[in-house]
Amino acid sequence: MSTLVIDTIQGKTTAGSVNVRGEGSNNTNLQQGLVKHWCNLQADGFSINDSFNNASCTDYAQCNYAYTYTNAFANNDYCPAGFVRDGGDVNYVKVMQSIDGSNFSTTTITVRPAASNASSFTTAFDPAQCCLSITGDLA
Amino acid sequence: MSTIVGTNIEVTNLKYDSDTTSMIISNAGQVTIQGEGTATTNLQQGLAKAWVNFNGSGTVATRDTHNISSINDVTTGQYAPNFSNNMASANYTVTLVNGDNHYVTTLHNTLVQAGSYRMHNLNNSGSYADSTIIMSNVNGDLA
Repeated sequence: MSTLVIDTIQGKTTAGSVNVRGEGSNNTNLQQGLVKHWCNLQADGFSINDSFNNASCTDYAQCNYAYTYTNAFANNDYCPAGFVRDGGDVNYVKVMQSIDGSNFSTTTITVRPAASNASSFTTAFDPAQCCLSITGDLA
Repeated sequence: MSTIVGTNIEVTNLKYDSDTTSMIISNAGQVTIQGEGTATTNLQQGLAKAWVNFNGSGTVATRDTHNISSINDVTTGQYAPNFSNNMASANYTVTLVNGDNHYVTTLHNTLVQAGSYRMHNLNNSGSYADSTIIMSNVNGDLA
């Protein structure tokens, strides 16, 4: 068994690009696969339960929350994924799939949670928690 | 601090010092890394295997991608991203986000395959609709 004692791993050809072997025979890129931001926001009471690369959150209005990053993204071409946690109302489907396209930048994103039931396809609502994670290119 | 520059370095453990193992590399190339606490986690399993941010209105155009070779514009509100390197099976996870207020984006019930997946974008009346911002992440096992 060999042991290498190091502080930093850096790509040789491109400093910010390291390939790793996937589960099978293909390689995948380490930096592109890493989540660059995540945040568990307690929307009722409005506090951050835990986060990574998240500087702050802002409560603009009902179902309208902004996350501001500590380290900015390189551009607006990154890729968020969202999920809500909310109790009760078993007849509703609740999602956090919409963002405010006009308030979406390298430093912040605004999400718009929605709820649906048999009579109303999507309406605004305030969930208990909004969980967000983002992949993409850091600045 | 020492710097080792090389194309191939064969090693099993990467450490900060003699007492702190950061990464363990198996003979299959799998990497176990130290988590934030005492538990370890698998590097490959924790990496997103594909993601895409694209404009789904008009001619579909990608803004940025990882492991996505192209997107089929199936019809209004229906898109099918194709992987550059396929997944091992259809048993991966997909997240979907759109840029329109209270639209919902869902995954097709059968057209999720090792080489591609199909999504449906619905407006707040429940009808198929295009969005200028669609974003999707994929986690799972590569082929």
